[in-house]
Amino acid sequence: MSLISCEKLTLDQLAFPSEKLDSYTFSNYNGEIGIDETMYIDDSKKHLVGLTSTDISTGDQYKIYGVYIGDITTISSDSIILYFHGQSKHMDHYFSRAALLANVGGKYNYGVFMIDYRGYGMSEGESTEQGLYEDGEAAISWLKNQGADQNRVFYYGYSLGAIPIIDRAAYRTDFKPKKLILEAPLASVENLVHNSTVINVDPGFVTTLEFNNAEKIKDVSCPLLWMHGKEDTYIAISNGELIYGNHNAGEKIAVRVDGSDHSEIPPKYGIDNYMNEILNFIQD
Amino acid sequence: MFCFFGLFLVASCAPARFVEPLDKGEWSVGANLGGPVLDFGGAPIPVPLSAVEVGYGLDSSLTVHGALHATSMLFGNGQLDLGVTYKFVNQNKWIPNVSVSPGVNVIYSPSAKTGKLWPMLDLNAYWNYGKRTNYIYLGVNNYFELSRTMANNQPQNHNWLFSPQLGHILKGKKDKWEMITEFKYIGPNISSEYSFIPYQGIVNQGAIGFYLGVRRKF
Repeated sequence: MSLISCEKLTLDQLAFPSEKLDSYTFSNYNGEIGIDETMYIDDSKKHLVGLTSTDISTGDQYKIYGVYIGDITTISSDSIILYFHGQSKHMDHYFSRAALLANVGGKYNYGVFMIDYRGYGMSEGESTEQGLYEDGEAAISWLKNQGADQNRVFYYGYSLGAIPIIDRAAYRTDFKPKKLILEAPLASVENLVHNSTVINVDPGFVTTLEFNNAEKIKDVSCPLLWMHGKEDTYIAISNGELIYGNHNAGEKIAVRVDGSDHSEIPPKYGIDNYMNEILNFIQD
Repeated sequence: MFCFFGLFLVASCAPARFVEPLDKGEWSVGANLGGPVLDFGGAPIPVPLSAVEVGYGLDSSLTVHGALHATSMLFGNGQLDLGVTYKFVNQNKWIPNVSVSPGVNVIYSPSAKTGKLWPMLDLNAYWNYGKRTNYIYLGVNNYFELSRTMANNQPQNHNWLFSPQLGHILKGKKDKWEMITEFKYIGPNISSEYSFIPYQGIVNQGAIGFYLGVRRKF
């Protein structure tokens, strides 16, 4: 007779609505936002890469996947945007966003590197908070091993992607980003919970997730560009305000977009405005 | 969706308990189901939170009661609400009975090693009608947050969660069974427009709650 354990429920997995894939399309046509065909990425500039992410606590290794947009042979001399995507589906869903970044300042002006976290797309494993940090670590290590110069690498975190990007920007010591861009980040799980329930319900009652971006940003030592929709009904702009307020490392810019919900910043701000904002911040 | 509907394990997870006190020496056990109504892909659905309750009539105007929150246990939490109901005005034609129910809601998570207590206070007016003395009640449920700070050391926005409620108790023969139906308007003074949780409020204010319950008296 086997013993049956009654494991308690948590809501952790609801934070990671991923989809598994057997292969990527990296389509210019589909995805979270639409882009003009002049910004389409040539197949020759899309490079699927495999990298290894290690679970520090167990030593288990997971094969995760990323896509590099640009000339993969000139990474050591190129300026690169490391882009960590949001919580939905996989890289195909966010490819058009990455393509936009690859057009900032001109087509293929910047290389763009995006990964799928464990459990997303073709990447192995299950998504966890610690896994996000370890996957982020693997992405940065990949860039470093390709010869990327940290003085020409810019970190960009969108929504869920802000979680590993802030963590690595704050705590990885051998490779620091030149600048940090955050789009619609959440302050912390606790903040989401308290603002939603009015009275202070400890999120520990239902989840192990913390995502404490509002605290970790205090340890980030590079300039910050923060963008957030004023009508964000998913992650309210007050989350971003808290992160922005806690950033203490010199230059920081806030872009609060009128009429924009969570995923609407590029079209609501205007694609050209959005790209120029990023370009000016990076070049400044 | 990054859905924390389970957060309602704590707040607004039950209908009013024992608006009308039990008779002296009377016991009752019961259960309830329901919670705030959320928008699930366009469909309004009450969160199906559950609890089992017990009550005892200390005298005809005073009932002591408690409840164990079953859904909360699925998440490894121990959660109770404990309180008393005291009736201090008797019905006289259109003048309603009035009862007050002070209590506490307590929750503890052994795995997270964290606990919390919220004082509660209900005030209800109710009108008995018919041969079986069914009743309609109208009142307010109040939760009190004792902390001065909230997440990330921000000042606590609200220390009082105020929720008007309207309910009905249908009694069975010989007054042994009761069926409870209740609507709550949770936090009508608080905007839910930018809330992470997709509440069904009224003009982006507060959240509507819907509850059903059953009670057996002994």
